[in-house]
Amino acid sequence: MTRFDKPNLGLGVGLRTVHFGHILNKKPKVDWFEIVTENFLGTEGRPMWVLDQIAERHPIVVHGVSMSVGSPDPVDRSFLAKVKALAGRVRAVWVSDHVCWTGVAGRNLHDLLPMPYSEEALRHMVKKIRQVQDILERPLVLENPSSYVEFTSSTMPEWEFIARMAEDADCGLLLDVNNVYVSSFNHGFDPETYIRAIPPERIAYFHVAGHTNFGTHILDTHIGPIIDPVWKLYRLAHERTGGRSTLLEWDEEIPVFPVVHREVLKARKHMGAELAAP
Amino acid sequence: MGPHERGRKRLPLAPASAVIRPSKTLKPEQRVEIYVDAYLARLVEALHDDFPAVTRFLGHRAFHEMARAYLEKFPSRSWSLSPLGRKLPEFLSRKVHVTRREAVRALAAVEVAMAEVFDEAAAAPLTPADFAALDGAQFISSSLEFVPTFRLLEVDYDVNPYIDAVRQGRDQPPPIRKKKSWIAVYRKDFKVWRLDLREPAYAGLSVLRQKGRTVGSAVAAIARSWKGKPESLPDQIKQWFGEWSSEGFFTAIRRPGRVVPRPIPEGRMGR
Repeated sequence: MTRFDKPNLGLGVGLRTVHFGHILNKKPKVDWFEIVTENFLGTEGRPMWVLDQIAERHPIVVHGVSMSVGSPDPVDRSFLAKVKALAGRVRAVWVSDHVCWTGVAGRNLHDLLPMPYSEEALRHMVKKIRQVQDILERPLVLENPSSYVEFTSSTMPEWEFIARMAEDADCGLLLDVNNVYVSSFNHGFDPETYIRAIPPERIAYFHVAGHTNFGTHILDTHIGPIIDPVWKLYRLAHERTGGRSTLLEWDEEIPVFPVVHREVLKARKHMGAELAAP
Repeated sequence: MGPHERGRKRLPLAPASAVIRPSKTLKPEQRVEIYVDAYLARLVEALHDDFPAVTRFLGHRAFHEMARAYLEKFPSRSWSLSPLGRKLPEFLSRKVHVTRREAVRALAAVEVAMAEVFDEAAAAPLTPADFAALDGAQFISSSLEFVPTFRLLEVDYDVNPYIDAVRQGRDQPPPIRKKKSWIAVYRKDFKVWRLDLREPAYAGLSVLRQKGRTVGSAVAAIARSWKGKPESLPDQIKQWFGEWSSEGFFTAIRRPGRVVPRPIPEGRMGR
């Protein structure tokens, strides 16, 4: 059971524009959709019109990439007001973003940049999360990032930073199992140690995805099917939590919708038999 | 220079190894480079998406070079990538090294208008029936409010056929000639449309876009630009107003002392 009174939504898919036609016309039986928040802010065009229709039939989770909670810049109240309005409009089950910063001094780098994992950064992060939650008037759910650098100023491992952050800020966590795998490869840590350190009652939902292995490092490209070692980590995360809503992200060379949907349905094989039924 | 840089000296950069740990396979500089490469790739891709005709005209390599120079001058200051390319026409109005810069600027101006119109808030358009409720004198003394999803452009090159060809995926887009062109860009049924205008039609619409200017003054502007037979002008004006209203250019009629907005159907406007 999560610390937050929310249902297990089942197996969902990240909503992408290339699938709009299929979803509107074929009405596939998908448990839920996650949207990228920023794709639906500041637009009143077709994407919003499509989303309104999908939100009538499916639970929606609003997942952003620009909250920049780790940045030293102050919280962007006008941005958060837009997020709050969107979440209300689609009756979002969760509002999530990332443990990261995306810009500084007014400039936006449009990337999920990792934090230095220090006591100072932790205090800063907790303060910002509390501010965001006050503005949104709901718990914020934050995702562990995939990362390609580690800071010399870090004094604790990422999993400790995230676990303490969630407790101190009283927020939820989105455990991206693929990100754990990617970062463990890039930084040389044990991914199972990471997953065992995350408080299960804080985990609101899981992400799974594919990635690209360049030999020297892995990039979190959200491409292709999920590899077995990631499913193995998913199984561990599933066992520790007793089951959580699970979502597949596929953002490069996106295939037709049924292929994407079938990929997330593979998660059933990795749940214990007693957990597979919704 | 933005407000954050003004009056501030740039600090010398520390070597990457002072801030970033090496991995077993990559040096600190190589690890930072992953983010640098991703930043450029992401932003240039966003510009590609908004400017397919400019990309095609310049070719990918030249577009990439232009985009890098543009991003140096106009880095993203928004959480959204949508406004990223909005200043490309302004950038191209400067002396930058781009092949046929003025023609590219015309292409960019139209593609910016298309991107803006795609995202704009919806407003219910007036229909021909709304206009039929007015007598001639009332119509002439009225002002017309345009829907937010409308842009009016005057450019020095005939870029519209080129953009058509690119959007339709044709192998051989037509050459872009230096020729004054007038274009209405608008959204209808969630699609973005471009309408080539004749000069008098552009003159009339330009006047109507000005706050407080009446249909009568727009008609006068059309007449001043009209080079055809005088006797054919009334029918032409009627045809144009019919086309503009059926394409949904207007959302409200403002008569002296009152406003007649088109009611917005429930569920269309949302926020």
